[in-house]
Amino acid sequence: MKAGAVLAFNSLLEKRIAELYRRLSDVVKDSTAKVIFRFIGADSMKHSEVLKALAEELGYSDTELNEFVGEYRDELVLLDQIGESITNMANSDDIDIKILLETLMMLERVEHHTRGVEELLRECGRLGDETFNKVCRALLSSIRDDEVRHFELVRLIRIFYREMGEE
Amino acid sequence: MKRHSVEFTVYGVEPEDVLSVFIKIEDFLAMLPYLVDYGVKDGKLAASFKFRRSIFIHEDECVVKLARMDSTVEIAFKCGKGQLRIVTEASKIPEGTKVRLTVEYSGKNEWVVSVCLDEMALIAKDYIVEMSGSKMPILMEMVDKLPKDDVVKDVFKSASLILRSNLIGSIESDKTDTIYNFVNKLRPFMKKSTYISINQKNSEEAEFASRLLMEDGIIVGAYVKYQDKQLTGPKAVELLKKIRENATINLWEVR
Repeated sequence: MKAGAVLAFNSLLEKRIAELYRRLSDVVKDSTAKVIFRFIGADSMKHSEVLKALAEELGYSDTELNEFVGEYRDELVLLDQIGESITNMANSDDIDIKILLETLMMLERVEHHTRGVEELLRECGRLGDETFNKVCRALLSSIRDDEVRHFELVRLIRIFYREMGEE
Repeated sequence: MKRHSVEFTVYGVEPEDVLSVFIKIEDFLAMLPYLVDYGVKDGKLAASFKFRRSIFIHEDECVVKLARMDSTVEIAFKCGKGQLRIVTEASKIPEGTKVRLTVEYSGKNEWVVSVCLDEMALIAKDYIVEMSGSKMPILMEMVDKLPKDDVVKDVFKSASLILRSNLIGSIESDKTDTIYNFVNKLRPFMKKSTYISINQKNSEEAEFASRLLMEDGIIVGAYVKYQDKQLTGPKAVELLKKIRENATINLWEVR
């Protein structure tokens, strides 16, 4: 496993996810949902920075990075779809609740799908020296816990909008 | 003599349920730390211990005797170099059973054995709680409603709880047991204030979702959505006793 490249690729994914949350926070009207999306976006940006720092420490090449584009095709397609949905909502005067619910559902899938982090946690023991292993494990565990939190928060917001749509 | 005691409540069970966990004494011995061997020897139940403090080791062979009084069970280990006793006293209280568990040792190398007594007491406590069929308590004085039902029912109040919580752990439930029993198994990990979120696996439509809030081991808020039902309070807890689902159960320590 090319650990440096996986970390670098996941860092790029987190950066894209952070951007999606930032755009979504501009689209929704409810102030609580807006603040929570900004919070998740900021968290994702932080993850991106941490993963990037770890990746740079381990080293990777652009060729290795490109190899993951195919492997992570499903995730990338999902992020594209979320981006398109947010653009559609941003371009209309009133938010289509159905599109918003679908977008949140897709984001739940993104947050639930933390295979990169899980894989890396398993690999941590083989990376760098002992101190690096410990730091790496602590950082990745913290990121994984944040992902669970994001998943729960997005699901709660989806329930809020679904109930609002039913009223 | 060196001694370590713990006091705790086992909710929803009678003193007899607590004391009868020692009937299968071999099962209890099997989980005791520092016990390296046990079995019947010359017609008597015997056990061997190996206690350790830093590099110092105290080993001993003992004969095990179980004595049952009205509200007490005493397990006495009469050993070659001393005597170890585990005494469990159970008394009835409205919420269930109050237990006082004491582990004491007198004899050679007390200074080595003494540091091991607290661990023995804590593991014995977990064994009693699990084997006596402890139930998760809910506040009984409020019949239809729990004081924090409104917190777990409201999505944004729940979101606020998650935002100021640390994830303690996650487990997956399956259909071999009820959700209530899966949550009950997590009680040893619960903190002073614990938020529990339960989400059905592989279902984006969330046919089943539940949120619980526990304080000091007591359920103070409960919400369950199951198919077309949405329940809060004791009725929600009762429903959890019937639901068997593949779900993810996340435990959060509320700060």
